Amino acid sequence: MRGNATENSLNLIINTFVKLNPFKVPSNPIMVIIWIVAIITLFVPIFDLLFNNYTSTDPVWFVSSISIFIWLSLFFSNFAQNLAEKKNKLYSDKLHNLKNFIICNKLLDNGEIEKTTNDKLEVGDKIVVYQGEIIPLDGKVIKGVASVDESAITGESAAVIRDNSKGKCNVKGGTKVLSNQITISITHRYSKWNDDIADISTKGYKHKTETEQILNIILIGMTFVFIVLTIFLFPISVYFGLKISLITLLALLVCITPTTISALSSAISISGIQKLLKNNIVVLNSEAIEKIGYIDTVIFDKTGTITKGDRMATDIYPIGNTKIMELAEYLVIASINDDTLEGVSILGYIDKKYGISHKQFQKKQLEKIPYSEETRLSGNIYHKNKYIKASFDVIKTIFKQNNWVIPNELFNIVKDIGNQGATPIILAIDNEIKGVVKLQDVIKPGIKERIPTLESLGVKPIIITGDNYYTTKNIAEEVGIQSFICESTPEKKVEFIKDLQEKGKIVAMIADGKNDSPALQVADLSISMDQGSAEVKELSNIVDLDNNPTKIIEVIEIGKQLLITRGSLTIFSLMNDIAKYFIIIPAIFADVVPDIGKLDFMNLHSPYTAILSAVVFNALIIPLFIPIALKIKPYTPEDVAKKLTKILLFYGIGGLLLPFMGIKLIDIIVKFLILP
Amino acid sequence: MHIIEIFLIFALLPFIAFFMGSYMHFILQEKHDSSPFLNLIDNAAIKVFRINRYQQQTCYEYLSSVIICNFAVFIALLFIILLQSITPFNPENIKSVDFLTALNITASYISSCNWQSYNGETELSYFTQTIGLTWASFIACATGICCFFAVMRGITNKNPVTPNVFGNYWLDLIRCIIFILLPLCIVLALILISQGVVQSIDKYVIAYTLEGDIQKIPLGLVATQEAIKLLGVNGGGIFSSNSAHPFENPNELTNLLHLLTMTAIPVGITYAYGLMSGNTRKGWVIFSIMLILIISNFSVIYFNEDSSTFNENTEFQSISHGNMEGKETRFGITMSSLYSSFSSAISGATNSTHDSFTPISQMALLINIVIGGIVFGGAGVGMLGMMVFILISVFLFSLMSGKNPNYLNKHLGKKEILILIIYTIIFQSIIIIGTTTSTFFFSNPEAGELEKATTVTRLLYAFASTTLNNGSSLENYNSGAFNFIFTLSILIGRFSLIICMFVISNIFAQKTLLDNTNNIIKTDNTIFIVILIFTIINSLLVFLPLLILGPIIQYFL
Repeated sequence: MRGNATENSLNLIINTFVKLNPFKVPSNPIMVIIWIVAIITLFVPIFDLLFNNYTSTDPVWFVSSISIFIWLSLFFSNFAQNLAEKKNKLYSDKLHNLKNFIICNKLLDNGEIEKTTNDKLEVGDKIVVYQGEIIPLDGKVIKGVASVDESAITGESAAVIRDNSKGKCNVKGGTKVLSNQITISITHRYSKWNDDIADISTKGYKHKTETEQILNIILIGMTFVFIVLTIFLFPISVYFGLKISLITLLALLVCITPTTISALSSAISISGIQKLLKNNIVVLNSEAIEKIGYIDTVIFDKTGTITKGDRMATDIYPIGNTKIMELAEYLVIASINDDTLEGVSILGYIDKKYGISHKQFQKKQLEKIPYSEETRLSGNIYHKNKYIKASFDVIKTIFKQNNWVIPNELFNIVKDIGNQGATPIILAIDNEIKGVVKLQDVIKPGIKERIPTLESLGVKPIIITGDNYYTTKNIAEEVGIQSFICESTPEKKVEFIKDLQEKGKIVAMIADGKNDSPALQVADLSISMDQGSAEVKELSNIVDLDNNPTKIIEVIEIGKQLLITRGSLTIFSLMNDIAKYFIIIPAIFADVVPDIGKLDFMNLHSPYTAILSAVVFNALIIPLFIPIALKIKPYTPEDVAKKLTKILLFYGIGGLLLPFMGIKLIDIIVKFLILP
Repeated sequence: MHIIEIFLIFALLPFIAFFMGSYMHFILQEKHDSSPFLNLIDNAAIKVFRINRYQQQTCYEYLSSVIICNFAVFIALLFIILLQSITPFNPENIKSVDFLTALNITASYISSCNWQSYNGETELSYFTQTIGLTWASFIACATGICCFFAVMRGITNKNPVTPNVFGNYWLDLIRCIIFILLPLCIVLALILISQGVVQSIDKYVIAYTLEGDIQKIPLGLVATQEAIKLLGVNGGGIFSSNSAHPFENPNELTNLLHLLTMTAIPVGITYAYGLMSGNTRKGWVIFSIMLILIISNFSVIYFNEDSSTFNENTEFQSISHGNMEGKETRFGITMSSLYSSFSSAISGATNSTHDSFTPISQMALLINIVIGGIVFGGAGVGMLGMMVFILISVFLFSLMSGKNPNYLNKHLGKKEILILIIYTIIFQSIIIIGTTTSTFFFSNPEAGELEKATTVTRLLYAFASTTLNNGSSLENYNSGAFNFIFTLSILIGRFSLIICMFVISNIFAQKTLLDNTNNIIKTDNTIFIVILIFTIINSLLVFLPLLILGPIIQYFL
């Protein structure tokens, strides 16, 4: 492990040197200018030879050290970026393992089963997956039949049947076996989605965020004028009969361009991505990172985002003379052939609460009444009796058609359940209504507690769903979100978001289903759950691997903090430039006006050491600030004025004073080095 | 006595800001239907000039109207100046000036810069001065005010569906001249006349001095030009010695009036800015930043002039201590320093010779100008220049507080910043390139360091003063080449700012208002003031080497 770490850092340094390759242009425009300057410094000795008179007054140690330290500042900038990228890579590797760390049953050649973990599996290995287990890797079914929940990959909530027949044999890693057991032969080492993550984190950082672009525009504007100034110092120095050597002008340019912030700029963005990755949030589009900080409205899709996606049986109500145990038994009989998650949840609920397992009924005794769009009911025929399950309006229609009796009790129970925001499912045997099952949305844990935090960040949460008013209201109340939009279609969702945007809101949409994809495209920032379908994930800016919608809080906080880090370093960098400027300018003009030395209140050794010290400081400050750039502090929602005062004091005043102290120190060291 | 005057001026500024701001806002922003008197004149003006008062111009229509109007005035003024020898009211039979000088005068008057590269008494006739320059001054000032209001209308537009809210330039111009400039100028001119400012079209008076020499005393329609020179923040007087001339600025009372009237519109604009942006506090914040800058600037100048022992020329040895060279004894060091500080920040009118100031004072004057002419600045355009810095500070502010960069509840995007930066690049580059390359004209191997440094200071001042439309000067460079170069720098400086701000305003007009109190940046607190001042000072850095080669070397030698 130790050796590995050394190897890593060695690779990092080698990599950085590779990036220093003179033909490889830096990504930041200011660093491009520094890069050009660095290249010109290499030719200064040639200029020396050609125009013997001109620069030869400069001592060799001065010219060479200026050149070295300008290259060094480029090196440090690359180093910062590489370091950030490296951290990303390491983390995504970890994520790989974590995501795939599943215990599985390897089927050995001799028929025995050995417990192992998925990371030790190879292509071609056979594994047995039991009911309730997750299929670790992509593979092919070679034995057995099972219903598999593929919602994690496809977003489709209906379970599918997988067996060894052609067309049904492929299973995907990350999906769950709901019933029975199957034997699988591994076909892919990694599942597709995880490959995507690996891709993204190694690609690192591509697009620049808007703030970064604006900042670049401002800094480039400043630098442009500084370049004009540096060039046009030449005629005026001729006018004064002054000899400002080329290397001095280049040193001046390097010192007055805002290098610190530019050198660390991409590292800051990358570390933002990394910080999000650490929270199991994958940023698919780096432009999104800073947009996060602006958000003021978050729209949660209900199903699959706030709730678990599938409705679960939470209660049963017997009707008439039916006893509760009888009802439970009837429900089991009616649900045995029902492969939908609702059916499975009814079986699970009854097994857990009443101890009636479906295994005691022989499937052969049952004749399936399959669900169809026309009848809208399902169930089984058992001992010639029809056990059917259906929603209330279906039962009502059937019973009214046949003039069967609907007990009054039923109406009350159905109304009650509806008011609770749940769905009633009626169980009837032939023409007699036996009871009701309450199917309820289950809210994901930990959401309710976090809604106030979200609001304290100035973000308004809204629930949007296609469900009816009562269901939505109930969920909204339970979670603690005041606003909700119910009975909406995908078009209505898009309209709603557009409407909000026209009112000046910056809207984030969190969703998982395919039906939300238009809305996700319209929203300023789209976040999808990992359980959602692949298309939805591709559409969105950010994917949450934990399927926890309150992650938006971390996302927003990191976005805000990213802005603040960038802002602080900008102020620091500009303040630095002011200080360096006041040191280097008197040094440059020291020849023409000896009295200008009065401006040199630092009492530096000589103009040469002053200029060199400024360049050295300029280079060394970059690695010093890498930790600040990479470590994004947690965001604290304290008073803005207080926070800004702190930043201005620390980075502003500090940025002004630090160079004076640093350069004085370097000057002393340089003095000792050059004096024999 | 002077101290009381100074306190009086600074104490009066907020009141002037309030009254002028409210009045300008009332005239240019209100529907006049409510006021029968204003409505009457309004309607008459509209009938005469055939303007549809309800027709709103788009941004570019407004901008092109500005340019068309200015171009028309430019051509007319150029002809008036060139045809001087055949126009009436020329009792002294003054000849026409050469073309390049005429071009320079024209450009400098229509852009409210008033870089006077001519000698008013000997080169221009009464007709040219009054019918040409006085009226051009009205148009120039009114254009500046109109542009500010139009830009603010665009930026504060509430409904992005209807972005054509820029008003009508012609209507704005007429209202501005009839309701704001004319009445105030008439009152001011009458007061000035009562104090002894000349208003005459007689021949120049011939006087016989005690020594027996003959002296020609020039006259002119001074009071009227003086009124618009001050109120319109133009700074171009009849006489070449400007407000130091006793016919322009005879006594301390008129001097006080000069100071108050030249600040009236610029300070008023800051309050109008507050009114337009929906929160007068914002206006007062900008006002106080400008006040801080100008008071610190004045203090530097005053203490340098007052404590100076810089009296090479013993002829001008003053009765008091300090540097009296180039200053009128009736104003003294204090009022001259204040006047100069105001002049370099605002209008360019001068009551003393800036060239005779101590180097550090000259640097302070220079800083007032190269900062972008934003400390109150010209009528309307000063505030437009300030908005460049406000927008950049808003971005830095938002970055540090982790918020969406927004200005007046609208998102601040990449394009706007790009345009602002282009403007700053333009004006800073012109000043740097102009100053440094012009030194070739003055290369003289025998000149000493001091002479060279003085030349650099003068050139820097000239380029800054023309590009940023201030108009004051250390040295009048009136050779043909300089006349031409300065014509260009005046026009580029003036119209690049106006065009850039209109483009930005148009972008803002099409933006939706943000609706979240948590993410909105408040630009009315102390921290914003600190960041804004930091941004302004940061923009000065680029001039530091030139300031060192100019005034600072002068100071050390």
